[in-house]
Amino acid sequence: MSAVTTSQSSQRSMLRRIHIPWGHLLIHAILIAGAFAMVIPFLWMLTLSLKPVSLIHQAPYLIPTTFELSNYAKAWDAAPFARYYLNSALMTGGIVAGQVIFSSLAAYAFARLQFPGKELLFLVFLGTMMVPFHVILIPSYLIIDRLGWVDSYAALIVPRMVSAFGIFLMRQYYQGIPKELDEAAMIDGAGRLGIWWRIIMPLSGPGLATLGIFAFMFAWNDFLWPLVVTNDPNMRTVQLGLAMFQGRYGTQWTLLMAGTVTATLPTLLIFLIGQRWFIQSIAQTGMKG
Amino acid sequence: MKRASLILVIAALLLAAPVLQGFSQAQVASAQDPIKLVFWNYWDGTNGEKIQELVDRYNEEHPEVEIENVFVGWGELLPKLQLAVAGGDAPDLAAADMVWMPALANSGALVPLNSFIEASGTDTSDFYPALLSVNTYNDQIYGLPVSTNNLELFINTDLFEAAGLDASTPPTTWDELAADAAQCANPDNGVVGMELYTQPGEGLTWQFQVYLWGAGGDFLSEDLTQAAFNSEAGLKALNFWLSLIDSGAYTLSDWGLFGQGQACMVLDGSWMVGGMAESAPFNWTTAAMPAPADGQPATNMGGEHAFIMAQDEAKQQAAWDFINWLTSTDVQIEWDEATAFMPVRDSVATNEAYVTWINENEPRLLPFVDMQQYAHNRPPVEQYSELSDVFSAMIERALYGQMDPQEALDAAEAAVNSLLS
Amino acid sequence: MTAMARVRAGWQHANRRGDVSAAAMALAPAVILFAIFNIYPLIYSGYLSVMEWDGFSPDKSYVGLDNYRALYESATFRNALSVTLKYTLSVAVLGVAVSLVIAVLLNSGVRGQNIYRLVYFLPVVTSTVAAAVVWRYLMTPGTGYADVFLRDLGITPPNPTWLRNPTWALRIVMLVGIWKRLGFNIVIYLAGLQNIPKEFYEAATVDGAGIWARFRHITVPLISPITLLLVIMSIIDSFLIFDVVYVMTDGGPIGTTEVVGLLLYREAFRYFNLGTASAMGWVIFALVFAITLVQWKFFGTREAGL
Repeated sequence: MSAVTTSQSSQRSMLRRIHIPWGHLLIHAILIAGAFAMVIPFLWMLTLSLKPVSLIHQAPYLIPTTFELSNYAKAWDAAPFARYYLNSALMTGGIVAGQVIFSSLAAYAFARLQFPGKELLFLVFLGTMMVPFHVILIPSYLIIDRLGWVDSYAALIVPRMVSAFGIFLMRQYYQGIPKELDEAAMIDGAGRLGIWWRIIMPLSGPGLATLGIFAFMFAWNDFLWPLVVTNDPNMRTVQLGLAMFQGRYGTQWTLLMAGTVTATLPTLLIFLIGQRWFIQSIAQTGMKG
Repeated sequence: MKRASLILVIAALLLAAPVLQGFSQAQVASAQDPIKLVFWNYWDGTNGEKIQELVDRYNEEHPEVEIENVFVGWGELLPKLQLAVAGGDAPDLAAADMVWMPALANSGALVPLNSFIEASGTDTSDFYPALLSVNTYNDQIYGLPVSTNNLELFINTDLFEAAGLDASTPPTTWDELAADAAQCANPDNGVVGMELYTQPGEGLTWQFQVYLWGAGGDFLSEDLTQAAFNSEAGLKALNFWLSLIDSGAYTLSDWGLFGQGQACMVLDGSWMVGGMAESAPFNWTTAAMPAPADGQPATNMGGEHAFIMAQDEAKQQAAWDFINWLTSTDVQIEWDEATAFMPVRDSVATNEAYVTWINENEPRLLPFVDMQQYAHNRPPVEQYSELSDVFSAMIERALYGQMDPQEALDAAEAAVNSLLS
Repeated sequence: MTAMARVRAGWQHANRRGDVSAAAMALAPAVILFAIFNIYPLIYSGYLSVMEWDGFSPDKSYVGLDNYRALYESATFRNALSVTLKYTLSVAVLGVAVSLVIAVLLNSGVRGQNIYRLVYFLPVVTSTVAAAVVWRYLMTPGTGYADVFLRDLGITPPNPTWLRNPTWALRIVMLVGIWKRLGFNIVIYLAGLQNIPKEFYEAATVDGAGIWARFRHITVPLISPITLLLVIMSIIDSFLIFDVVYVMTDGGPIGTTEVVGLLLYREAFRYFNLGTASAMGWVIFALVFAITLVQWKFFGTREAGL
């Protein structure tokens, strides 16, 4: 334990010697310029969401100069958003849980197991990412309809419980875990799936966190699929609710922006929490090499 | 042991999902229950509040029916209808953009209304014929207009004054329009004289049609079998647009300059009046859209039409009763006053109370009401959406100088004719 | 040894270790879900691609390969393919290259890595539609902040202005595409960079390698499996782009941003030509699959160790 600490601190002091201040300043300058470009739309969104309607065509300021907080209340009341958030949360939770288990399980098979047709199957899985979604929309809807799942959480969750991206990500991740660990466990008589559950999964924190974050973002922001498989207004998700502010006869900018800011917060929060865990996990797994 | 528990977890997850579906499924209706109807439309904001209020009132007054008013976004309504029909989950009735009506009527998914109209003795001749014609397919009426609107001239009074013009004497001919636009334009401040909608698609096409009709032309032949815009009038309209651009009165820009106070004039819809009154940071007024001195007044109309998709006969009847009520003169007056939509019936437009209301509350709607009689409809052919896209793509090429005007009209004509054949 | 015998031998060898039954169990949920919700709909759309159907009526009529032939002859479709390729290549190459540079800078031990990472990740967590709506607003002359900011920097907007300019519209759409993906790439790169043993860099530094040499000879080769992953992901996603263009330009001006995803959407849900839309979908699918396969064969077997 103490040996590890010593080696880390010596690394750090070395880095300090390598990066003389002007180098760091240059790096910060580049990173800040890039960061500015990243946040402009969000500042704009925030500023617009805090303007009274009469000022939306005013000269553009990036920083809020008015604080019309009632826009948030108005946006919230424009539709049953409490219900929409609940639906989004249930859908997202189901998808994340499904992805973490099923995608990593399948990834394990591709990363560690030998079976005939492996490469072909992997390509088929990968292929599912390459289909333009609009082209399978109608057939997919017909299946949901046939299953009697229209307006159900099943329709929102089940078809997306596994993803080619998730499998790809986890497979890539598993390849970074030393095979010796599996082999040691195998000598101890563990089964293949037992190894996945007891050896690989505990070491997969960072990968699973990443997968979970992406599954969350994908599910939370998804628009088209929830639109298609729900007819009942009680089954709508947050993103569908936001579409309400962009009508045939004009956009309610202030409300749209207030609603969008609010809808972005959960994903941001998940990323904040996830990234801390993500870093902790990297430290815990002792994989720095 | 571990493996067994894992498999259990997976099995539980797979099983749990279908069970979750129970949550919000509708109960099976028993005989005594009211007839339940689902009504899809994209009316939002003030329009959405009013339709909800009307539906609620109708439900209260008619305990035998229960209509559920469901908002579906404008951009999403058509795909949703398509999927719902394919899956057999179509709403019982819906209201959609009039420009989609020919395709919808032709699809076989709508219920013909003639027998209902006859049985309830509804006088369809009171509806503007141009509006009704988009719903007529094989001599059957498939929908009734609920709301309409048209395009007229909006004028930024402040910019007009700054340029030494008087908005109380608006341009009445194309020449005056061009002259005022040139005088009002101020390139140094990014102010354009007359804003044009030059993005591809229906937005461009339906604006252009106003100029085409004003110049005395037509979009398709009377029997709707071929393009008619490649004419003297078509060339005149396109050249007029190009002259506005050449003179510097207009630059190809993103849409919305007028709302930002950067355009002196724009051709826009009556639906803008309410929102502009609320948010425009400048003074403005409206006027009838000018036509060429030797042309004729013309405008284009839009709006929503209601139709029935229910399979069940009792539901069809109930849905018809509601549509018949919603499009009746009294309800229409109330609807138009709340939403600033234009009248779909002559009996509304000439109703004294309605006209008084407009004069007192929003006289800027008057040019729209007056011009409704000169409003054309877009040709009621089922391929209209695609036709409009290919047409606008060619006009756009002329605006960007990639084709000369005659060349663009020729190309558009060829493309449109091949779609119609 | 015949191919059949080789498969059998492989099978027996694998099965001795219990791999095949374990793989069957591990893959069952994924296979079942993909089969029902991806493969079947894809096959069904293949069937639709040889039919004429409006999506509403119960009748479909068989038209053979007419839908494909029409695409082959369509100048609009050819233009859309070339626009899509331009967009895809730019987003994949620039997006991945820039993100690697930023990830390396972030990993260099500067302070505030967490904050930077969060900021760069912001675009990824926003819905694409919302982001596109805001970007369109930002580029609006006069009232859009980006337009005004660029003017303040002394950059005069082109005429016609940004999104109405045939040269600039696609560039701006590309920039938004890169902007949206950058954080994703960076985070994946950062995870990968943390797995590169520090000793490699230390040893190289001792041998006198400079920053560039270390980047070129340690980082780039060791991170290449992740580069492959990101390039493939970018290409797939970018080829299927729809939302950004739909919101920002709707294909204009004069078709310069008309991507295949947009054409497909129009055919299916505006023109009611499900047959043409399905044929288009299959052509896009085949193209993306072929591009991915080529990359996989050329780089994948070596780098990703399949």
